[in-house]
Amino acid sequence: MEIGLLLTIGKYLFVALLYVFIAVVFRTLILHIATAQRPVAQHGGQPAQRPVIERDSGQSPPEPSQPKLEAKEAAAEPPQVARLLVVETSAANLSAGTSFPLSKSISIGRKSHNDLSLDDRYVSATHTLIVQQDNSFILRDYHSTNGTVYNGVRIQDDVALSDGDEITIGTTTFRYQH
Amino acid sequence: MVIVAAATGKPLGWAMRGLTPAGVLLVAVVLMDLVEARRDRLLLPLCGMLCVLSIVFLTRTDAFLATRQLIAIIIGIFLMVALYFLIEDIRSLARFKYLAGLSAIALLAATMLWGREINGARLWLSIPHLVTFQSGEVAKILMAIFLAGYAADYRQMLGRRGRGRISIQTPSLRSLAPLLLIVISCLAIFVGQHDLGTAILFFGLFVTMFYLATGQPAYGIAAVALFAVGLALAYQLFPQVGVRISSWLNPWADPSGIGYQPLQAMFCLGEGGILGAGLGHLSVTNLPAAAPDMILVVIGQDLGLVGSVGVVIIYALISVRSYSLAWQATDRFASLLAAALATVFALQTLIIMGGVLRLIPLTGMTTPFLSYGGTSIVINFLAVGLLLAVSRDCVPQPEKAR
Repeated sequence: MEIGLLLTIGKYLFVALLYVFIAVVFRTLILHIATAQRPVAQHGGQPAQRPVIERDSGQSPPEPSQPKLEAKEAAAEPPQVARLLVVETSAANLSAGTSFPLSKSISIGRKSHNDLSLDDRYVSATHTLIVQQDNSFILRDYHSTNGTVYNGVRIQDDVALSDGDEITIGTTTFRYQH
Repeated sequence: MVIVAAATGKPLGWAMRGLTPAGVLLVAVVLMDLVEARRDRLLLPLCGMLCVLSIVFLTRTDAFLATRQLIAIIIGIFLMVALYFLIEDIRSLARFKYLAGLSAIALLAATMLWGREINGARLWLSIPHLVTFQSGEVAKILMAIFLAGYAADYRQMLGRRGRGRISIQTPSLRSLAPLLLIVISCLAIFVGQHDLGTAILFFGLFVTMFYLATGQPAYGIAAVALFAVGLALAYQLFPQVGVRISSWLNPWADPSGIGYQPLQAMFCLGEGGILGAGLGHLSVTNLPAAAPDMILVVIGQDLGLVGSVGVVIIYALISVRSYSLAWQATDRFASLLAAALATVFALQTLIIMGGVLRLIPLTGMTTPFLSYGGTSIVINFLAVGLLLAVSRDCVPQPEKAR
């Protein structure tokens, strides 16, 4: 009698465990899909940003470490400077319409030590370099996992940037203006 | 992964054996994570779960076969990890497409000439003192690599549109010749070997790849017509096709002969009912070929409808996951390769499940990861290894897993 009861419990337990497994997989799957659509920002743990390149857009998000002084300097720069305009982004610390003046070689990546840091899980620690050469800039992928996309093509070698080029890094698309 | 380990529970001896593949897989996962943790995180646990079920239910039907299956699983996991690390970049695999296609043909041809007969079918190739394997299974992976590489290269040529709305401008013979040569010789060998189940599987793979590469529904329509013609021809030419079909349509005509297996399968499923008879409660000795062909029936009897649906869900999840890798992959070859592997997996599962449930005629094919068959297990693990490599190299993933 008791053994029979035990067996019955065991029988349902087996199937129940199977479904628990399936439920866990489902949950992970849904989580994956949710992350893929809208990379979740990790607030709080992020160290303070110190952008060497300054933002000069009106609608920059409220970033506590945003140096206002530098932003003013940016406004004073000559108009013929090269710029990176954010066309589209899901990075938590960036918004579309922001633009950055380029005055020297910069690094772009997820970590805060970069000149331009993108709070985006699809971006590698140091993802891309934009290297100044004379009066122009060169785009160079820094062994990033998800690649740097230049005008729709993932780049292997250096690419010289010219006006209107689109650069995609993670979920962010920049337009290069010169 | 812990869930896999937790997922077995009943007669303790079987459960313990069932845990072994989970343990081996866990070691493999830890090993892979030590090197690089960026890859798909769901495929391996799902396949591991199927392996656990496989060992539990094989032990329950035939303990000797279960031991051999366990060895095959361990070899399979080992080879999968080796393949995963060996491929530095999945995209470089595209270079070997002709080699893969030709070696698939060579393997199949060699089997036709020097193959070993087991149970009246010459599907086995044996390297003396080393291994005996089912060449059709190996050919599946090689063919997937070939088709993906070919379709990625010749996409434009295959898909040129004609003037009319539906008409396709026939691609130049030069671009098509290697493809058709390999496809036709492959199908011819299967038909020649009377391995029609595998022939259907490959046909489905070819058609899917054609469609995926070109995006033209006309190929699909043409394929259905071709399939109907092929089936009618096979029905006329090969007596065993007629036997299979009549045993499917009317098993009661000969309940102790050709109708025996489908009828027993139905009885077993019926005994299982909705909640199942309980693990090992009823005997399955009168179910022929339970381990290779009918493992799903054993599960259906023991775990009932509820358990079988769980297994079906796992298969569905693996397929969905593989197709979503194909969808997300940034490289055309990698994407097509993932799609090809997913198609083989899904189609094979569909054909065997339909056969077991008597929805379509039964063909002697293995249920991926579940049924007894050394080559099948190893090859399925290798396919997963390729999928993992695709996910590692070509699928954008969150930088941090959590």
